[in-house]
Amino acid sequence: MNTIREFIEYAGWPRIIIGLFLISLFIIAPFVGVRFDVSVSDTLVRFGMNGVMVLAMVPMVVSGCGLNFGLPLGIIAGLLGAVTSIEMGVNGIPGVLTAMAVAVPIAVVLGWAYGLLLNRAKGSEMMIATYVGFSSVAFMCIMWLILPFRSANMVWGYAGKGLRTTISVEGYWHQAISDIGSFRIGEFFYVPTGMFLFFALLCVFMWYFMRTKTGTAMATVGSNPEFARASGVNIDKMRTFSVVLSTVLGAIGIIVYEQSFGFIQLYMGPFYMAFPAVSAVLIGGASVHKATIVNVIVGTILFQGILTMTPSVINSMIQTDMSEVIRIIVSNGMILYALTRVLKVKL
Amino acid sequence: MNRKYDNFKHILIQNAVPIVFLLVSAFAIPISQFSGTYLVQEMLVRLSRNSFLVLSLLIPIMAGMGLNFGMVLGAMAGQIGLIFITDWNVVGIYGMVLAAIISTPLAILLGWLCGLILNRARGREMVTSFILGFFMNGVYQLVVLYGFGSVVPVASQKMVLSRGFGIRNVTNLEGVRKCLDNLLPVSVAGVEIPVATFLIIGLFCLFVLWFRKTKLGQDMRAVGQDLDVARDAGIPVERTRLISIVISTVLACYGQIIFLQNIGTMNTYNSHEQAGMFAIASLLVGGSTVSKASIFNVFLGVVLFHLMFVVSPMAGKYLIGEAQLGEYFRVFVSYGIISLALVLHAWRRQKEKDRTRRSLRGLQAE
Amino acid sequence: MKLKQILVNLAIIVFFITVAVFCYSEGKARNMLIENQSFSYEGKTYDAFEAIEVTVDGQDPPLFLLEGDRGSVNLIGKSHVVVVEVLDENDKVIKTYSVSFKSRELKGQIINVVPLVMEKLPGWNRELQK
Repeated sequence: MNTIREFIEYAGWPRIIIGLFLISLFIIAPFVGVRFDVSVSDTLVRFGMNGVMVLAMVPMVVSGCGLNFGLPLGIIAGLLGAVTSIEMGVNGIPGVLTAMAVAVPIAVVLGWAYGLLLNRAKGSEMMIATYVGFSSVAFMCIMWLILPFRSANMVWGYAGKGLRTTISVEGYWHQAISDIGSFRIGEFFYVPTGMFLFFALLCVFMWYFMRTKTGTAMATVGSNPEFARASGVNIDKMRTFSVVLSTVLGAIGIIVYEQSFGFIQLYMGPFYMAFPAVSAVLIGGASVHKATIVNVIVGTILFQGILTMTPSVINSMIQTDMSEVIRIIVSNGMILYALTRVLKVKL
Repeated sequence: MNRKYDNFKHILIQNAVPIVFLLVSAFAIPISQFSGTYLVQEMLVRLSRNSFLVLSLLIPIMAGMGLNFGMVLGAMAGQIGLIFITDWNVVGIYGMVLAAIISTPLAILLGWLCGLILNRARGREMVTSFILGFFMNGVYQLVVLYGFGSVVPVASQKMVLSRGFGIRNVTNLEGVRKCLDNLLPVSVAGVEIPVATFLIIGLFCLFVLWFRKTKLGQDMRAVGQDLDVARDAGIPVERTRLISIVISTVLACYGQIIFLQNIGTMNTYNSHEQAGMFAIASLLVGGSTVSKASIFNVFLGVVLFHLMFVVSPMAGKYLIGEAQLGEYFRVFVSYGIISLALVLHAWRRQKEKDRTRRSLRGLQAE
Repeated sequence: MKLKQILVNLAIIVFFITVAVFCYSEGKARNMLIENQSFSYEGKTYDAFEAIEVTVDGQDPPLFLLEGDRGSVNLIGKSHVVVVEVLDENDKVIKTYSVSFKSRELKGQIINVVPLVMEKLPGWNRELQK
């Protein structure tokens, strides 16, 4: 009895309720005509797709910069990498690596500038992050129109210039990472082992990094800035570093997402992409000041699970498509809950 | 000589946003090839249409709640009122007043909810109200897209989607179209002026000025300046903040109704989102900050923002050959302006904190 | 203090409800069909007019109805005035009728001017058969 109570206290009621809700959805699914193996497979795939972008939330939360609503900035770096890789016509794993090789330096530069901006705005980071994210997406809308890309798969047909809204990666590096070591059971159950391995690799890297000197310095800046300053840590430098790290992870994350999804979404595509990632890490137990890798993993599974299962089950039950509305309510509700949680000091 | 230069620099930074906007507009207007009469008429219309919404943002800023992104909730309440009167086929000014009356309880409820949630998110009001807006949008869709026609009876079949329930994407507000604007029509040199609307806006401005002097208004300003000092002085801080949000939400509700009666059609699922965004952008363009806003900021902001709004697509077309570019440019500027204003405000606040901290520590070189 | 506040609040609510009801009755628009058909009542048959112009509540332009025609109008508010001008072959007005009625009297969607101008014979207003 005691261990159960401890577990409840550790996990928190919201997480448990969501977990139970998800399990019940999985149980109901077969009875309303949704195949169990499809459900599990879809959830797993979406977990792998989104994991890295959720992971990107951790550095900034840890260093006290709040939730990274400005993730679109990193996503844009990743998009630039992806379209460059397609422009150059590279396939398969080298294609993915090219994309990342182009994206990461851009992400570093963007993240660095973004970090400088946030350092001038301590205390209102999240609001500014949101609007910086929005502005950069809007700015890139102009850029996608005038940047000199020429590849026939990407530009509008009759004019020959200006990128299309959605670009397919089929034939280039669709599922390049996912397919490494993947296997299928039956027709519907697909396990993208490669993507999981990659995500696990990044998680391990993150975990190890948090234990290095830089990592602990970053964490100190977030939890106790005065102590950090007294220990001789340059607060602004650490914060900028965390922002750069987060942006880079965002760039890598969107490439992982695209190779699984099969499409590159430009223009207004990245506009709202920060919100699912923020919701996921919050569902996993993170708060505005604290986030761990466990939060990321648990949160992504729960969030993507709900996002996959609720629409398909409810659609089959009531015969109406409510997925969009449910997605909005669940993801924003979670963020609201986290924002209104008063910090409880555990003695 | 130095003092004057410092002073000038200070004014420049304080009003950076409207100045930038003025410059951009001055550049773009001749390129867009719009005539002066057309622009004046457009600005008058937009002033009459949007001012009320922007004015509703003043009171939360006074109470220290920052930019009330939750005004979207008021806009939703107004829209639901309009859906009802369109369904019942009540037209003209009576329809508009009826819509306002029915939506008021709903707006009060939503504002009260918003205020409660914001009180629990002290220090993060803006992000919270921002997300709350999205969340409520989901609830609104749930109600309007699924509840209306099934749980809530809708008599008029042409408002309902073909599947039998849920309101259509576009609701025709023909019945109340321009009912307030045309109440007292005046035409000056080919420019039509919606006098009645401006009268209402004027009344509202008077209300704001009067409100500042009441006890409640003074309480709000005290809370806005320093929460703890206000609490020590005996002001019911939580309640005051809550009331400021409720008032703002109800006013946003009326503002949205005024906005929609001018346009005449309602994008059932989109109109309210834009309302919040544009109102806040307008206010910031007018030179207000997150902690200080005046009626002058409102009107200046509406004119400048909408000037840029009207002019940039055409300017983009003549400048680069793509009107679409102008569209994106205007979206970019809208969001960029809010970012800029937020950054400037946060930077200034931080500098003041640093200055006080440094003075408390004694002048030690860092 | 508390009782006074409650009473004031109640008064405000009652005021707004009254205004709302007033607005509803003044602003409610009904879409009606005006027709010009021959009408029988108690054995007597009244012929439809050859050509008439019907003005409802001063709305412009007036409905032009030949024998058997039907036109649609929007009735807004509580009471209405229908002016029927009978025209001859040269479209000159030979006779004018003016009838007023209240929305409360309406039972259906169709108004037949023939019984209407004859001192509102019962049946001047009937339901639309679907």
